[in-house]
Amino acid sequence: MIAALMVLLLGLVVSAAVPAGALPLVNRVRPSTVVPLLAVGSVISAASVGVMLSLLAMAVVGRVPAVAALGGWSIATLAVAVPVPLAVGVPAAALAAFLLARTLWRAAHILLLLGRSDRLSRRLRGGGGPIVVIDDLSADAFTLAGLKGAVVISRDLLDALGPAERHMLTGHEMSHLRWRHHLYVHAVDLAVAANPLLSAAADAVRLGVERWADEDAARLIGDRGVAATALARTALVRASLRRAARRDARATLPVLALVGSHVADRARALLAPAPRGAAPTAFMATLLIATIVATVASTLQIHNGFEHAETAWLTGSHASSHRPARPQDRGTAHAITVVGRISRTR
Amino acid sequence: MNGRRPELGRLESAALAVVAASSEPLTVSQVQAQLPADPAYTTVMSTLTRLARKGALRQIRDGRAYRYELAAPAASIDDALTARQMRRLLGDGGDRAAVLARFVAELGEDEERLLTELLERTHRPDRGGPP
Repeated sequence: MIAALMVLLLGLVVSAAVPAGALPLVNRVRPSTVVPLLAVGSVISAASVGVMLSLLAMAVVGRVPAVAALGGWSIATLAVAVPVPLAVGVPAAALAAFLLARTLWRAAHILLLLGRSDRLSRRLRGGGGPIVVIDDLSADAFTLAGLKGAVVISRDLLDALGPAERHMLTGHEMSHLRWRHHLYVHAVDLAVAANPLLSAAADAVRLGVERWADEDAARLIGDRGVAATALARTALVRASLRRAARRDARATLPVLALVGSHVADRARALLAPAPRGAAPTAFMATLLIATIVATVASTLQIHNGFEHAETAWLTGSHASSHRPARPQDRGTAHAITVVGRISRTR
Repeated sequence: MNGRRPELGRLESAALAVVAASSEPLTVSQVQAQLPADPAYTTVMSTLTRLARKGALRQIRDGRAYRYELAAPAASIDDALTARQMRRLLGDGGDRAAVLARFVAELGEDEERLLTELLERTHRPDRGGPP
């Protein structure tokens, strides 16, 4: 029990540490190293907190007479073997149920959007390659996720750009597609749904995949300075095209008011030397392995508690020591216990 | 995981990016010149051939050699269903970031000013790059 709370605490510390260190890491270390590290770290940390909350919840739910009868364990022994106070267990159960529902909802939503995106990208590609240029006045460029996926660039944006800007654009989007960057974003989004403390990690991963694609495009161009200028110029060209499009009813795509893709930060990062800082892989790995080991250990401990309670129930010692948590429950609990025993012997 | 079509390799995706960035069809040596890390001519040629076989590029005969361009001509999204699918994906909710990554999103006023300054600064010390 003490161990379980310690693990929960450890999980919370990791949840707090991952996002706090995330943004500085994205600026210091190669994005292709940081992004997977952050995604895996967030998922493990969210999962361990989820497991610990569920275990605390189980310890309390297991003392409900109906549940105990169904599972076939002694309530009294369970209360001793896994002494989780109600004041801890009940909120934990509520929180675990809420976070689980949130995560499932999020997962369903991501799958829905992925399905739509996949259908659209197949339709746009029409059997051709992954880069699709569309005749449209949206001045847009984006990567559609999906099993196939596609890079969509509107003709007016492409036509307005010079050679370096075009390289920056196509190189960037091809990097998103090739490394399946959307999967990291999905992973960290699910982790945040399960553990809202991690939300800063999601921002860092979003910025990280853009930086990753920028670095790949800069390598294609062969000059970081030219790449930075190309990025800045593309952003400005697009902004002025969008202003024109907003006045033009022929634009098929909606003009979005989505601010905050950190273009200036990204351009500045390209002007600085390529990030060479070492990722704190060893530190992160140690923290995560400790989390996993502690989670497994306390799971086993609580599992043992349940085994004890089950043995107590089977050997019949529950008949004398069985004390339902609330006296008024005794009648029902006893009846259900008997039913449980009968169904068990059949 | 990718159905019948294998995922693109590193050189394939770079070559595709180079061809897509060009406004006219490119020869093998033009593509080779624009790729990083100086790949061999024959390597680039077989990469481009493979991309053509996969349907990503089109070969145009030019004398004894081929030139390469993107296979699909500019697609039109006048088709009502495609346009609707696109609008639904791009338009609804704040969740689109989970599915698609935009090259650059809408700029705030501050950001636009910052970028303009950045361009002016990088341009003063000669063409091409910071000091």
